[in-house]
Amino acid sequence: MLFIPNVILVVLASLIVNLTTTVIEWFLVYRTEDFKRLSDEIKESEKKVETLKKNKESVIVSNTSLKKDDKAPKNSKDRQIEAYQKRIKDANQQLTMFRMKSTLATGVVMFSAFGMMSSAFDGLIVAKLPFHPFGLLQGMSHRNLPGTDETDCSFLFIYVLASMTLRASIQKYLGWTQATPSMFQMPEEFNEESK
Amino acid sequence: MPPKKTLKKDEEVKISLWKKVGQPRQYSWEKDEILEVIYWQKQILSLILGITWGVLKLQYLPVIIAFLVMIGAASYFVGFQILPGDETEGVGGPWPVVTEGGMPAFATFLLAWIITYTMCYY
Repeated sequence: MLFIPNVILVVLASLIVNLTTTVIEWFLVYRTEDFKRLSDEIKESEKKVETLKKNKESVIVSNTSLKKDDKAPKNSKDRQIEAYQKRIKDANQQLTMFRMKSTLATGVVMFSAFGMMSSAFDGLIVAKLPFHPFGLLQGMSHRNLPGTDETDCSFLFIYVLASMTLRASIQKYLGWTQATPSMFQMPEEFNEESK
Repeated sequence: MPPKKTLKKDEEVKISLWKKVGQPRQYSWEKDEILEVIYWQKQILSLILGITWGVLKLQYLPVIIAFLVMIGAASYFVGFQILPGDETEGVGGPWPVVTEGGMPAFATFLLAWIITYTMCYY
């Protein structure tokens, strides 16, 4: 009989889970007309804001009579930029609401898969680490394992690493990362205030 | 230097990233295209380094630090020496290029390193 090491089984399980959640997301979100409309609206508005900002900057640079400290009154370009930014914000909110169903569905799949894997691999040493993990990492890599050898590795650490890389790569390959608003994106209001 | 090929919008879609990578200075690039190439370059390099260092039984923290330095330097080289990152609008300097896809690349490296090390020596 073919012997597959546990560490490979964990990676394969992560692959299956990630492919399943991708199919669910595609079915509930990415193939729909509403999603396409909203993401197109965001892209177009972002392009327009960028162009308007560029035009505004070039006008300020060319206008040498304006002092740097003077606060210019809001002109039509500012108002247009604000309108487009509001449109982007609204579309992003709608997109978040729209994705709620798929987020719930993928959450259920991931939770059940994790439960199944826990019952299969919990307490088993699936790999040996070539380094000494520290802090939080150790809590994950040595979770529920017997003994004090910190280079023993539990399934959880391998599963998390595999999920991180597989999910990001699948989404990148499908070109989905553009449509997802970044978690670390600074709000526009903050950028304006900090100037 | 020959003039860069300017393409109509429909043609631009058809030009694959592979073709552009083959002759990077012949085409005009978008910011997202450069970052996409950087992402996959990081993934491939991380996989190769992880497997190689696992087979060579390299261990401990210096290996991780060496990986971070190498992947950062390689991204900078690809983004600004091979691809026209400096001429492309919106790339925003070396930092976005060096950090693009950093976490997934690090995860790929650790995974490849741990699996190879485990399979070869345990």
